[in-house]
Amino acid sequence: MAIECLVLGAGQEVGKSCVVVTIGGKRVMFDCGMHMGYHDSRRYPDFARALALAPSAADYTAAISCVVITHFHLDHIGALPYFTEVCGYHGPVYMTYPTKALAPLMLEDYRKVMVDQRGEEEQYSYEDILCCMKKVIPLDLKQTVQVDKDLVIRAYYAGHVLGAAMIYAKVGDAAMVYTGDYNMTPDRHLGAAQIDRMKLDLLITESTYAKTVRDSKHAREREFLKAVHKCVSGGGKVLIPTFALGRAQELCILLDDYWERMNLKIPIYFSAGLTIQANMYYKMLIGWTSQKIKNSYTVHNPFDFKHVCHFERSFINNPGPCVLFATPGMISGGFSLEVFKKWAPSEKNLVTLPGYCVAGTIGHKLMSGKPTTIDIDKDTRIDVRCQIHQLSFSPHTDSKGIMDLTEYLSPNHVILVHGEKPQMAFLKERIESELGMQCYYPANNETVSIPTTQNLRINATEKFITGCSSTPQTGNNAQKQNLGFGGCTEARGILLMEKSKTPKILCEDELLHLLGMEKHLVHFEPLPCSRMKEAESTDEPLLSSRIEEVKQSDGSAVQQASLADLGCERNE
Amino acid sequence: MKLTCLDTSDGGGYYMPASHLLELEGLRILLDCPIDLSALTVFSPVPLGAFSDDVGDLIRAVPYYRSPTAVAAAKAGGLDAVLVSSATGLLGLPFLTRLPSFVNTKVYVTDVAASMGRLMMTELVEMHREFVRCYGPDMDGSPVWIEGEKVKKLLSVLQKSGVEYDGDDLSALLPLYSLANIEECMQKIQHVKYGEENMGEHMVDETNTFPFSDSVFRDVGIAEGGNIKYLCSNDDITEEIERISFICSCINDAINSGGSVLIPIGRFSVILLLLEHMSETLHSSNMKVPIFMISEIAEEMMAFTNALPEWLCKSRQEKLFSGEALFGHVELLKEGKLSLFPHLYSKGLLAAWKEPCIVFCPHWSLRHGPAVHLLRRWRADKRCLLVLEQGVDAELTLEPFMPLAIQVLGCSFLSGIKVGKIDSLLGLLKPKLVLFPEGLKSLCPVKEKQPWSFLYYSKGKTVEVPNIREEFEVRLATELAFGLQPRQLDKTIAVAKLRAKLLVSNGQYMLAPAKSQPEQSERHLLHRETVDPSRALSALQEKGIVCSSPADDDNSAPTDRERTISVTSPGEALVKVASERTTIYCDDEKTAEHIYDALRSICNGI
Repeated sequence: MAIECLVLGAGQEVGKSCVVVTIGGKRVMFDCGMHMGYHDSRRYPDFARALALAPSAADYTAAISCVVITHFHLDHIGALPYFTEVCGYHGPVYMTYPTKALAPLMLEDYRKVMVDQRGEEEQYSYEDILCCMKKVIPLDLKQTVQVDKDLVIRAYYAGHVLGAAMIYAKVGDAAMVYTGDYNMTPDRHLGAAQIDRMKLDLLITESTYAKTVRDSKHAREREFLKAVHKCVSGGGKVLIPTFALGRAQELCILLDDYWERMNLKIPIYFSAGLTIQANMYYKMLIGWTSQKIKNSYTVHNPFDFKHVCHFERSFINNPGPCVLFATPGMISGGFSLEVFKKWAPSEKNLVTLPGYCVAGTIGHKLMSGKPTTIDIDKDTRIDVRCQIHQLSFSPHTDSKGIMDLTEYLSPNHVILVHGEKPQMAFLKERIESELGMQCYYPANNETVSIPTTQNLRINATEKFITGCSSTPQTGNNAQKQNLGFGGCTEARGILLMEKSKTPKILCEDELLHLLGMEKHLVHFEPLPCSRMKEAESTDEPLLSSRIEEVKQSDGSAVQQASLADLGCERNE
Repeated sequence: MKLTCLDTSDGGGYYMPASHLLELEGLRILLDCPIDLSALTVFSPVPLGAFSDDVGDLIRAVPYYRSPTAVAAAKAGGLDAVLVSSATGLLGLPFLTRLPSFVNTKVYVTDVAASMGRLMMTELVEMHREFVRCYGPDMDGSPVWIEGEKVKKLLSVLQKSGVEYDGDDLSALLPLYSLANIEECMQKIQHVKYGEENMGEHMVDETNTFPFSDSVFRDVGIAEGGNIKYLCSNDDITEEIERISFICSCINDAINSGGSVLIPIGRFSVILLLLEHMSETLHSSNMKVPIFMISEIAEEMMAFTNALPEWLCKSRQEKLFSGEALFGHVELLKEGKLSLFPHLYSKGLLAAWKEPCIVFCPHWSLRHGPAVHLLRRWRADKRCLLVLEQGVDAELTLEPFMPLAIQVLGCSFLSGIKVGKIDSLLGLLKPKLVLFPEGLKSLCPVKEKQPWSFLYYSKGKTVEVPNIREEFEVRLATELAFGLQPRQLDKTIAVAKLRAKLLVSNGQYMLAPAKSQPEQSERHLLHRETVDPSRALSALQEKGIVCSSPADDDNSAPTDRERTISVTSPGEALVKVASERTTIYCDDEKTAEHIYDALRSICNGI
């Protein structure tokens, strides 16, 4: 058996994450994202290739066993309404509770940007989003879901954004994990990724920061706050282009806290009513935030922002300093672009950009070098005199985190997705040389085939099981408990194969009893020269043997002595 | 496997679920550990002044509580694990976790049950403080009242709840645990998520027991928050809603007549539903009446119940997905119709206080908490209403407040599974064997053609459960299977020796290759044919070993006599063969192995 892994998106790039994995005859689509850098057919994964994997299947529903979405970012979910409502996939779709709750906000916000402001042809409607979300089955963390008779999936905490999950999937004995995006260190409102150690054939991991190792986050947060504070105290305006959810809440918590401490009165605005609405969701989903927030939310809910207020469109031209969160992120259009056009020409103002912007967006242009002018379209050119601050903290794990997780999970094979080709090549080398695992980083539309281990199912007698699980279990209980596997003890027994019966494992004495066999002891001793001579001269037994003899008149009586013998052997 | 029923839930219902001890393969597992508060009724509520209340023969002292039967069980044989199925099943656990023998015990509780249980225990301890403030802290030794006449009454109450005492043995009475004990208890708990499979290294047998008890919370058992249960038909829900509506109409009447309403009910699900329905009835009748919730934990509990969508029924979850609050109290709080205060003497309560009003507060035993004080205030007012839960001994509960003019409404709510649903539950689970309470035997008669059989248990007795399973399924790694050397014994049977690592992962056994082969100075062959020492020499020679036997000229000797063979090639060795044992003297491992192989061929052994 093998695991076939077709990368439809985020292969040697960031954007439109989508991997279709065929495992034991089941086909799972992990993520169904869109690429924000493209406005043509390249924005969606090439779904037809997934259909081609199953020549006998009439449609997507027959071809794909289930779709699992890891989190609500558009490059992981943006193509889902298109896939279910336009391509007509009607099978099960799984995502965590927060993702199911928050995804419609993200999808609708971006759909509006595309259709209303960019004037693009509608790919899917608001109704499509609602219909699509109705098909979604919510998942809790660690909940084991039997998708069908053979396929099992389970979600683990991934950090990154609220509700982000790593997905474990298993068919028969073949098992794998798809990480989605994850963060190995806790941030202001989320915990670090957490997963059990399991026996895995394959790990598919993101590799956004395949080569970067980050130092302390606090210093970087201070850097950001300092830049914002400096700008507003100089009378400037700060534009923070961001998506409605995730990073926005993280930065809001950071700023709100700072404003409180520094006693600042300058307004912090949020462009749409989204945070207000989003905060309602965040309060119900407190269980998915960091332990620190969970412990204290009843006294102080960090999503009750004191200093954040609603922004009216007319405020754009108001004088005086302010901080504005505007959607969408990366300044790929919409309101953040509108504000950018107005504010960019003043050197007093500041634009903060996330650590990563997709190629093709204005954010990306601002980050590559320091352009003085930017062409929005063929008629619009903007002078860029404002300052640009790039956030250097990120909800993605760094390369150390990727290596740590990979080593911890110890899969047989690793596939890298969601990264840039040269860095991925570097990380592949490290994983292969340092961890000794096969590693691949296929491009879009390429397939990687992974061999899997297979187990035989046989029976074992109770005596065999209890015999080996009860022996040396004391002492290191605590240590064992931390491992995904429970007791791990050496077992000795006999495999009995009888015609037309399931093979069975039993204890030696059970076999003696069953088949009337006998035991013949063989003792190994070194050969001293004197013994040779002695042997030639006498017929007496050489030594008063240390071996305890086991006398058995016939196989029917298993004697105490033989049990004791087995026992002492195990302790060797 | 053995099952001992430590406590049944008869009478206790929701507040005191049953508790069992399961013993399997030497592991002792406690199922639920509730607290029995029945002793509380024999104590007098804190008096207002020294002689202000005629409390009859109630004990005026800091109450003691019945020690959970599980404590005795834990002391007797220790416990390996505790599984808790609901918040009320957790309330007795701090009595256990402070025992020194509890250090290595694992406790598994669902996320929600653990959080709610912690809040309920905190509330209990906070209310208990009222007594301590009144009577002073416990001194060493037994309290004074233990010698008095009142003890008899206490014992008779306890006996009613099924506790058997020998004479004046009061060792089964304990002072309440402290906040520190609760904290210690919470530290022990391993949280379990909905639908999570959790297999500690101890849980190697009967793994199917565990997923069941984990998922019980949402599917079968008492679900919090007005949850629609999997097995609950719409009829049950309608019934429950009708009950709630009836209570609301009674509340409405009382308010209309100018009276206040006191609701000392401890079930959160009922409180949440009442709040929702009440806001509707009050809204439709256009009444402006303040609703107070007075409890140490009110604020935390209200915030918490709006943050557990994963554990609620589908229709509640839909509220999350459409961005609405999960329960109606969020809106009530926002509009200022519902106010939360930790204590009766809280700053702000006095300012907000207005009668008539509706007050939710603990405790249903009417022995401590704000309910005691409010009932004293309103007991003579016939316009007022007290909503009590049925099942508690109303006469005894109300004794210290007599005479009463206030109206009392006794209500009962659904807790646990209805008898009629048992069959469909079993049909769903398809067990081979069902352990059923003896006392309820008549309610669920054995029918013909049922694929499962019943075993009956009763309180305090241990039932031996026969082991149904004889063989276990094991997965054998292919790489391990390839390394085996099977030997054909006859036409139908082949056997192979197996050395492996036994792993347990998610309740499945897995045999993986063991690490390096250790040096062995002693092995044994298993064989069916006899080992004939006289054949040893030729067998070795057949394998190309150059050897001779100094004694083999003696052909008249019996065949099972020990033979000595000296080997010269491929290495030097000396072999002594007898019918039951062989000794190989050899310095070279390869040669020794070669000789061992030859021996195997004599007897077709493994």
